[in-house]
Amino acid sequence: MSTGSGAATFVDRYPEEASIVRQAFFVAFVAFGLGALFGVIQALHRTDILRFIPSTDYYTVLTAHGVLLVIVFTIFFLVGLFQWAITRSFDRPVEDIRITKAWLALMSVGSVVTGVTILLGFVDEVGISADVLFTFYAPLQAHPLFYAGLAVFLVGTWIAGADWFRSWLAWNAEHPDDRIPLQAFVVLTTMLMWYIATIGVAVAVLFFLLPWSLGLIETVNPLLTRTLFWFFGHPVVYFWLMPAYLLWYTVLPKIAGGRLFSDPLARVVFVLFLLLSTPVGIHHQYLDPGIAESFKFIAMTNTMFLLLPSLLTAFTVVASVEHGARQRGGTGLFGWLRALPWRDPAFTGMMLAGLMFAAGGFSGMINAGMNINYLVHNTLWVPGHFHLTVGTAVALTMMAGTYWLWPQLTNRRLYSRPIGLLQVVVWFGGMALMSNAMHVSGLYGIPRRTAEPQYQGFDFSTAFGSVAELNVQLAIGGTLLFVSALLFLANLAFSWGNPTTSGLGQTLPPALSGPDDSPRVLDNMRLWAAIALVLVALAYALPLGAIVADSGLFGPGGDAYPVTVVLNSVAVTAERLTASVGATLADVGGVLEVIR
Amino acid sequence: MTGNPLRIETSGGVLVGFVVLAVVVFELRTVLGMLFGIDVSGVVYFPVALAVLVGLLVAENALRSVGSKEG
Amino acid sequence: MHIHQYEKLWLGLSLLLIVGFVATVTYGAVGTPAISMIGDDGDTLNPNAIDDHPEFGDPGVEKVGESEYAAYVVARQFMFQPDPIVVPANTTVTFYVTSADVIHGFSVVGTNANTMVIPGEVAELTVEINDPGEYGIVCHEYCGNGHHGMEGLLKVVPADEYDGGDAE
Ligand code: HEM
Ligand SMILES: [Cu+2]
Ligand SMILES: [Cu+2]
Repeated sequence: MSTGSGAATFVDRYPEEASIVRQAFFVAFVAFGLGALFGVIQALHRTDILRFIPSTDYYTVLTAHGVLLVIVFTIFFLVGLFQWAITRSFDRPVEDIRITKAWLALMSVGSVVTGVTILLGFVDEVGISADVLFTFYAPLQAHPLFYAGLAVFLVGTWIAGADWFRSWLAWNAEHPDDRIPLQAFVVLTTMLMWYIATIGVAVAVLFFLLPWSLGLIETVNPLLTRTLFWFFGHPVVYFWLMPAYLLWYTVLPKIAGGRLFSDPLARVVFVLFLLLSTPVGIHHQYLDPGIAESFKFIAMTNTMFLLLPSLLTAFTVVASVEHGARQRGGTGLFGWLRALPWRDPAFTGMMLAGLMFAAGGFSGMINAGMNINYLVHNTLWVPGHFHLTVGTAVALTMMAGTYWLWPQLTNRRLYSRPIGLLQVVVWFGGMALMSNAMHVSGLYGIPRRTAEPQYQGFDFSTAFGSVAELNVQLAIGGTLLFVSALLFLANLAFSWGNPTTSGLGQTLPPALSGPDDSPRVLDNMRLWAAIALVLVALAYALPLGAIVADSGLFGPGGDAYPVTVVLNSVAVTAERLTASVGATLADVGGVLEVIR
Repeated sequence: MTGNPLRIETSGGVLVGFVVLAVVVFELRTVLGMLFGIDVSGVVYFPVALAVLVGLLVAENALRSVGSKEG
Repeated sequence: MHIHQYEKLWLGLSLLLIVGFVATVTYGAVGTPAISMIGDDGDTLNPNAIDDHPEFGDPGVEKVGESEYAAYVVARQFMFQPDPIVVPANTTVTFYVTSADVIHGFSVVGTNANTMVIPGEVAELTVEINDPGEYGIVCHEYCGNGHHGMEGLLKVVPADEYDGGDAE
């Protein structure tokens, strides 16, 4: 069944680019495996089902889980997928492969430095720690290498974006009258959004947190760095989502047996994401003192309008899949559902991911409502929500997409499609359990981000069932997810042992209604970037101004609280650190050599 | 593609359909509890739900093999 | 540009839904007085100078009106001061919460009395207190490796049992 159309594969046509994509995916999957391991440790520890680490190490685990999954896994997958999409849809090699290699290397080095700094938190003797979670709120302070690694990683992503814009310009010079192919359109709008979004975190890290951790400045303004983080923190969720959307819009219809319904509408959707993703970040700060209610209100309204592109996507995706089903001979009001290729893990994975995204969207609307947010803010409800969105809609789509793409990157068939199907179904079931338990626990007030949500002075009261039962549910769900992650990784690893085959290539059909009859202004990247910047300025100038006016760029004073437990002499620390970073880099280098 | 690429029915669909159904049935208890305040004991609910689902699966299987013998 | 009939319908319904949400939330925020939102009304202060602060230097509950009380609460690694916080039933209590060190959370379990606690900022939230009883308070933001032990207690006592002032 996984036999392609007999066409040449991506790796046949663009071997160097395919190697880049594979390497990016490789880093992503290593991070995914580690992240999943930490995930199951958390699920068992906080529910008190099984505790094999001290509770103080829980926060090292949690920091690693967050950073490895939502920074490393998602974004490495994204750059790999986007490189594929750009090369494929412009049908031209990268302009200069050295640049492409350079950004991948920068991103990798940054991730390894940050990752190792976090993991050293397990080894108290080293005296290096970064247990600040992936939100790194000051004045908790991580080791400078944590921030430095992040900065290097960010620079890598910026160069990646520039690399893709360069491909566009080169392509455009040769095809001045053509519309931008849809996949490239997604990449370009997404990267514009990324440039705008990362202003916030770059300013926070480069101007405040990094100099502060190095002792160059004495204090920071905790509300300011936190607000800058969320300036980045909301659009980043759409950054995670866009690779999934790319797959849903351009690959899923094809696997379903049809083609995309409407290309122009897809463009409208991606432009809307570019415009609306950033001026909403304050919705993560509904409960922050020092930010006026009116700013929160504006963020809330913008957030609700951000539902629009996702609602439109739901329509287009379902319509395209239905079209595919009818092409395959499906009939009836719902009967067409039976004509879909449910045995194909790529298809089923994406469909189940989409289904969970609908549920996640629903709980997201609750988060976005300001007053209801007071009930669920920082409870387990919130991880319950985003394990449906980034943890499933994104992660499961990425896994499903890998089942489809990997053979075209390696010329090797997938080891086992039945195992693939089992894997996506187990993820879906496990997530249903874990996420349900988290949502309900959250409504009872059980907080997130804690090693031991069991308190001395009071008990949580439940509307039905019991906390113990929810804990069991959460732990079973988390374990199933871990098993599913292992199945995915093993399936890929065994695929490497398959012999190379030719003819695994797949083509992507054009949309039913193509881009030609849509207004050309949709392709005007400059215009959209400018409007997006204006919207951001409108939403953020006043709140940021007010924060600085109230307590200054560097805050009203206060100490730094390094999370480092034991302090050794600087020299010893540096020596141990270089040794471990060096060893890790050597390992990574060795493996990359193999996978290339 | 091995087999007919335009195959109308897939038993993969039955598997996926059942998993989705199982999740819906599972969530039903939460809906009862949170929205309607009806506290159904999990010790009763889950075994019964499981039995019903397995029953449905068996019935579906039987019906399908009858169908395919006739067809 | 051709837009399908159903697509237009869907677009319209989506917009309607969104406007509906905005309206509901607006009504909830403006029209119901059950709890005030956290805003920027609180002061700013230097977290290192808390001990010299007239109110936070000795945190506790004060009577400020007929049936109105002010509760000054300091969050620090890894406790709340005062603990327990004792207030009389059937009153309106305004909590002023600040942090002496890092970011914390302050949430009265099972209610929507909930705020972030950010060093340098004073969070202000006004709560209608009804029946007597005991409520747990949790710090719901990670604040260091002892975070999981950070809890407090809110004791609501019948008005005639309330002895005024600090119950530490
Ligand atoms: C094996 C699968 C997974 C399991 C068992 C798992 C489990 C958990 C648990 C129990 C928590 C809550 C910890 C706490 O607040 O105390 C958590 C947090 C989190 N998870 Fe997962 N998870 C899994 C996969 C994922 C995936 C695939 C993603 C995203 C791509 C993800 C992203 C996150 C994030 C961002 C947090 C919040 C970290 C923080 O609060 O700083 N998880 N996870
Ligand atoms: Cu957000
Ligand atoms: Cu805390």
